[in-house]
Amino acid sequence: MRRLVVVVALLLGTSCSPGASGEARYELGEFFISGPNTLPEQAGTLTVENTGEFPHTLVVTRPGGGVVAATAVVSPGQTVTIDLELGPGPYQFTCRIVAQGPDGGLVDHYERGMHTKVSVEG
Amino acid sequence: MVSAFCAALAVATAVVAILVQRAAATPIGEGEVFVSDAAQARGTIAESADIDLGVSRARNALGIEAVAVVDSEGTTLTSTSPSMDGASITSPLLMFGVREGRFVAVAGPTEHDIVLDGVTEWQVGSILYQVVSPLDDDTSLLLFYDISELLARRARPSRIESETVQLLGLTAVFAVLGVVVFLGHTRASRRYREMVVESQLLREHSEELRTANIELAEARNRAERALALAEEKIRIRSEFVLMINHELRTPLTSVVTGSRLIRDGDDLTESERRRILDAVIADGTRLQEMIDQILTVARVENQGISYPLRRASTAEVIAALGGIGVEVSETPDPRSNTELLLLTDPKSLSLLVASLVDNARTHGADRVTVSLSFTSDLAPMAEVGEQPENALYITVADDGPGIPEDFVSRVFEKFEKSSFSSGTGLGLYLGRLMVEALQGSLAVETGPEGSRFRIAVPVIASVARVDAA
Repeated sequence: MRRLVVVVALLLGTSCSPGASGEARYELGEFFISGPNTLPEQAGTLTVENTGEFPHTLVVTRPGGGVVAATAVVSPGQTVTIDLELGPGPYQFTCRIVAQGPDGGLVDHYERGMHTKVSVEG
Repeated sequence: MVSAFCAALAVATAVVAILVQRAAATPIGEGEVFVSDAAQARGTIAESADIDLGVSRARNALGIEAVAVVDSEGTTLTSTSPSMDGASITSPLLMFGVREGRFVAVAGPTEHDIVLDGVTEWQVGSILYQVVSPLDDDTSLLLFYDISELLARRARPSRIESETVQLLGLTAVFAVLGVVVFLGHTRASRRYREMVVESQLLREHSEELRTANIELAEARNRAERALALAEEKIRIRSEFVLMINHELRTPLTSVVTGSRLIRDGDDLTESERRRILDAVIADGTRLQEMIDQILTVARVENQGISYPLRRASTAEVIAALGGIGVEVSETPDPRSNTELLLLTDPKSLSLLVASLVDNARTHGADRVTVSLSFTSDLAPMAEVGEQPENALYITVADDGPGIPEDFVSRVFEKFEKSSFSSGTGLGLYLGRLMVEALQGSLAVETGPEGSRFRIAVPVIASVARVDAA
């Protein structure tokens, strides 16, 4: 299997401006991940923006659970970029945050709908 | 009905199967694992006298990357990874959980190396699942998971759930049951339709049979009537033969016997011979009349009868009747100054009246009268011909024994004669033919004191009487 070289850059706060050098853009919100369903190989830098009211993450996994890349927590209104090198194939972009609400119930962002399939085409 | 119910059940189970499969495919997060593990870790730590030992036992029991206990400021109090001791949490989200005493899990880069048994398993920045869970009022648990291993362990293979298989099996059972019931119902329905058709055919056949029975009964009635008519004709002809045998043979025998007596009776006196000759002549005349009557009927039936009808006055008719040799009376016309103009053949009319007179005498009447009138009180018990709108009535009345009641309706029929009477049975039948030719009618009324025959002669006009006086 082709080995994946993963480079994750964690950029927080004002160190990253929206739209900076991203080839593809993904938006996080309650509770969705919107962006391209297909990406070209060697996608390079993804721009991730949290337009919601809660913190979110973007975790990239292969089918079967292997984690390829992940951002740090993206605060509301924050935009980060993530550099990655993906080989052709299917991937899943998810938010992996589970938080207890004021009423004691768990809010699982992934269960709520923050997952999308992205195909990288060679 | 049952098949529809089975189909509904099949659809319902299929829908449930789809829902189950879709639910199985619905992503399920790791929260339940974290909550369960945190609860187990709390229990393990609580059971341990030493918190360091408790943390270690908890990590070993859970098989995760690291377990730590932090205070309310996020500073590590104890940890299975020595690299973390004294360090503080910097993630705002994890710190939110620590400060608020809430459960928080987030996948992301670690802030510390994770050392296990002296080996650095995870370096700073490695992506781990980090979980904060309240331990007590002042401290919280911090659990570290290998996210890839965790997700791989929990990843649902793309497979059909066993519940889905069971439900699809149930769907198939219901579907098969529905099909079986439907086929049975279809077969029963076809059989029912066939029975309906057969019943319809039976009804039609029954109707045809009923119609045929009716036609058969009608044909039988016609045949019975024809048979009765034929039998009646046979009877009449038989009686006619008997009549011929009796009525013709009797005078004939008298003629032959009388003639022989005269031929061979040398010793007869003149008066005796004359009496015998008178009898022979009388019987011969009677024989001749009867033969004439039979021949007349035969001729009329074969050729028809036609009289030279003409305008005739009442006086002419009375004059013609004068030759009959009976008393003729005339009721005065209420219209005294007028005379009726008739349409008739006076000679034929007088012959008809004479035959009626002769018929009355033949049947035992001592006194016969003929009367002309313009009105009539006769109540017909039988009538033939056509009653004219305006008529002159000629009534022949006798004082004979009358006609039997059961015979009077047939008195004008051919060969009909009372068993008590003599004659050919053709007299009144001939009278019927004559009155029809005269365009009048002939009616009869009878009783113990005698009979009355009434001829209606058509009147065509009333004219002023030409009176010599």
